[in-house]
Amino acid sequence: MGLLDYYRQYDDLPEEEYNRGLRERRAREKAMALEQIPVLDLSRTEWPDFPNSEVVNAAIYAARGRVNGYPDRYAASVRSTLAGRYGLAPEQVVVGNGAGELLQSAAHVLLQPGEELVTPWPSYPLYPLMAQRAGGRPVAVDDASLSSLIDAVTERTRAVVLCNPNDPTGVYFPADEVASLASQLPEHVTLLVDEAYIHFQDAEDCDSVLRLVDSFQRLVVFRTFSKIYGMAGLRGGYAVASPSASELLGAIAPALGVNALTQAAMAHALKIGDKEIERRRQLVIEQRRRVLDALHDLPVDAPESQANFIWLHAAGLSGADLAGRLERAGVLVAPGGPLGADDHVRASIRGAAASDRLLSALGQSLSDS
Amino acid sequence: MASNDPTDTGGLFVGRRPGTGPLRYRGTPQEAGAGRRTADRLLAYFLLAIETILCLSLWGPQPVGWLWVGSQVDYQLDSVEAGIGTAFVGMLATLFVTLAIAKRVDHAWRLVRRAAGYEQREGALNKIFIISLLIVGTAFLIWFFLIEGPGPSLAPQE
Repeated sequence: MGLLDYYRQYDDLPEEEYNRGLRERRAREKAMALEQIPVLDLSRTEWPDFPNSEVVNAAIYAARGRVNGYPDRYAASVRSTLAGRYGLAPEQVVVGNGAGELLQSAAHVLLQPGEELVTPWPSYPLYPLMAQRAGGRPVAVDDASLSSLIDAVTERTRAVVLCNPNDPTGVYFPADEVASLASQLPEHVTLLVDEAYIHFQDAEDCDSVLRLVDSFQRLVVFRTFSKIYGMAGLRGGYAVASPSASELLGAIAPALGVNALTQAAMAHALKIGDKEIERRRQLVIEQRRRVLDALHDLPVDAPESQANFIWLHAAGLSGADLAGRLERAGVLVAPGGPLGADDHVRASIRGAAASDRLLSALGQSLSDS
Repeated sequence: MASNDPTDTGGLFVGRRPGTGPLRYRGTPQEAGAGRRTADRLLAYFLLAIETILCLSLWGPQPVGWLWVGSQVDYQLDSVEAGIGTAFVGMLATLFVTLAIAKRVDHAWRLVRRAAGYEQREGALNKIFIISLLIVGTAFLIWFFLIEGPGPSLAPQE
């Protein structure tokens, strides 16, 4: 190598030296960003991300269309898509403004004043409320076994509501147990199965319980677009039942249907959303397993969950105390009092970073005790 | 970092914009032994001294030299304008030539410093230029205001 060539080889800078300044600036920016860590809200169970932008575009497209006219009150497009997906007749499906409204309507239809609605407890707080609104009487069964539910059924019982997987415990009743329950219920009782969190379970096929509607005339399955689909703000849900329950389905369907924007979003979500739904489902299953495994090392109990949340209990601490400690550690969870158990909290399962923070906050909170 | 996307410029630049060439990172150089690096370190000092001398020459020797040349032109042609013009143009010309040479020496200094094992990203010419200006300027002001006084030294004081 000649003398000039020897020095020319130093004409450029190495990558590490060239980018060191950029890396240092990025590290400074990162440190500044980390100085203010926002509170992580794990108290809610809806999906934390926006729906697919194409789904939102479908709703916007509908909003720019003929909104001066009434929407299709029968939501024929959504119903036929759902029916085709589950191998049912469109008459077996009704679409409503969220599964909650359909459940409330079912309570109004099924319950007369003084009649009973049986539900395991703790469970979704809407169930006792909807029984009261319908003039009925809620019967909460503290033992979550299905035999206890059957024992609680009386001559005055008109409906049994099962949240499956259950909110807030995450307990899942497999299809054979639901079939057993449905077969043992008397003729005057309808079984309402709320499958708002069904996509998060990995115990069996997601449609195992839903397929039972062809076998049981008094079984109605409710599903929602508010959870894994991330469309809670659009209020969309549906109910599925046997062909012989068409009278009940007709009675619980909203009288004037669901708005055009929600119908468009639901139809498009069903058309293009399966891949994203599967990704979200796998994320929750993976993180739930990870969090539940990590909880073995902490002084906290949590039943096996099949939903996108876990139901936590720390010995010697009330749910409000534990929620308060977690809040001081920057993580919000739902205290168990309003959900049916004062000594529990419900924490949602999100991505890996959220799991890290939840576990870190739990370790920090429980080491203080 | 400047963009090299031609659509950013409204189509003004069809190719890459000036100054937005792709980054070239240095590979692993063929390094010499410790003796060569020591020699490079000394060579870097030598080049730095040359840069310093070049910069210092801008504030004293070169103006004085061109003023002498201008005075000779004035004497030979009996024209003050020609003398002043020659001195002015000559000063500017050698200023640019000196800076061009100093810039090349500075580039060589950077390469030699890197070869000597230093992480030398920037050159030293800007600093030397400013520091030499400050030193010479301060010396001039001290001479002008404190030593010689604000009045003309050749004019009669009384």
